[in-house]
Amino acid sequence: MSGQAVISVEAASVCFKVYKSRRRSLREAMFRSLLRRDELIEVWALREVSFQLNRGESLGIIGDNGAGKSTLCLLLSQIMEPTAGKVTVDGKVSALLTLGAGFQGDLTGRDNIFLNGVYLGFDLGLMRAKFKEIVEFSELEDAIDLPVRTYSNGMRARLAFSIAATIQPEILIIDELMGVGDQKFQKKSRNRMKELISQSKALVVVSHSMPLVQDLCSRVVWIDQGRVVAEGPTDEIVERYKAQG
Amino acid sequence: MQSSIKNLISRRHLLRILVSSNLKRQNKNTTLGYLWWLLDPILMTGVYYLLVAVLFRRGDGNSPYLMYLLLGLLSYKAFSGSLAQSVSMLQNQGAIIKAISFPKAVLPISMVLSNAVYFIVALLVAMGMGIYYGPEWGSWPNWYYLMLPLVISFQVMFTVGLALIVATLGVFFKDTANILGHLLRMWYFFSPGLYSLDKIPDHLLPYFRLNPFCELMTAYRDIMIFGRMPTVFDLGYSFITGVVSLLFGYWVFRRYEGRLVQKL
Repeated sequence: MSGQAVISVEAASVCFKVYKSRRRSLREAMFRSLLRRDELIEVWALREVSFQLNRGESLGIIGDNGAGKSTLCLLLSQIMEPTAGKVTVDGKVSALLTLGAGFQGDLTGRDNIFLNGVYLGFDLGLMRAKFKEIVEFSELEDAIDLPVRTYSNGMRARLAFSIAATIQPEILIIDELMGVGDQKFQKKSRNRMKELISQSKALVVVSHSMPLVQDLCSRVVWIDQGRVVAEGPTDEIVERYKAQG
Repeated sequence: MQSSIKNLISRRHLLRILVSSNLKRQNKNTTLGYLWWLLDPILMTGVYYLLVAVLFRRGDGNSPYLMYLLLGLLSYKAFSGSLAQSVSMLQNQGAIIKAISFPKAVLPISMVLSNAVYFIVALLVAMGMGIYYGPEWGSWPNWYYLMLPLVISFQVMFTVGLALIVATLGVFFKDTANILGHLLRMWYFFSPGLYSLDKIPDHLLPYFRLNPFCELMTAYRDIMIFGRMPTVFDLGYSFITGVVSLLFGYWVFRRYEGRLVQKL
């Protein structure tokens, strides 16, 4: 079983050290080290979380707000490293969570397609090859040569989704079946997402939406206050989660 | 994703696009647009020329003072601009750092490289002026110009190292940007930007020469004004400070990189 694991999380803990003032100024830092007055508050977002995700499997992660789901997402997508423990990932992880985060308002849609693409780890050759497809999918047409700051929210979302949807997912992390834009585009983007899910070699769904988790996942990890409460077949765990909530 | 050498190389396309985006964005919203690439150094030199040569009647009698000023200013601006932009770079890009996994060192490095491009274009303009106005301005292009890429790369190494440190500090201490502004201004006045090194008292000179901008500026001027080979000491010292700064900056950045996401 371990031979097939694409993601394995072993006793991963994440500790946020929070200072009373959100970011320290130099003066405060000097005072504190002089006076040895430690106003450091430790917040454990995750404590010794362990689980495995195998090839071909789809795993749901459920829990209340603030349970540590987002932090876990950061670990799985390798944006953050655990304070203790280990997260091993075998394959390319694509997280469809925050779309369009790197958009530069002053640059055109065209420039942003390339910028966002290389941020996501594609090489330029691939982006050039996919460029037409992305513009077509986004339905932006001539607006692609206008600065992104002139776009409406809908246009931004459409562009962001179209770029992200070019991924060839190995391990896919999603938080909902994103539908962006108007009715027509929503349907299109949902279909594209289902395509991505079916192409992916492993799937992680981090969601509040029980129907979505039940629909997509075979196994579920339930976390609360940073700890794994239960892990097992979807229906069983979701029942328990609902009963408790 | 950590900024290991391997990851940085695998993300070289990101670095390339970031550099061109920085350059495109810089003057996008101004009426004169790319013209600022020329206007900026020219106006800056004009201001200092007015101050030093016209009002104070000082200057270096032995060399074309305008060109002298221009070379010092351009090289220093490439350095100070890089640092001033790097200090807030990680905060400004916080949203993407928290959304996508990539080696974060590309952000300050791209800033330094786009400033270097800006610098090289300005040097070409200075060269053009030298050719147009003839020997009173500077040397005609000669074989020693081939040394320029070398000197520029030493300066870039030095700048990248400090940019990585400053970018890290900027995340952990909010007031780094304030302090940095003053430090950079002071640093310029301790570099032979406005004056020449023979104005410095002999017993202080060794201390002044610790600042690699002494050697860098002298090297640029040797090549472009006097048409001679920079001294081995100038080249060697700027190379060594460049390498030391690069290695130390990279080490600092790698050490704190893992904690950046939490702080943003």
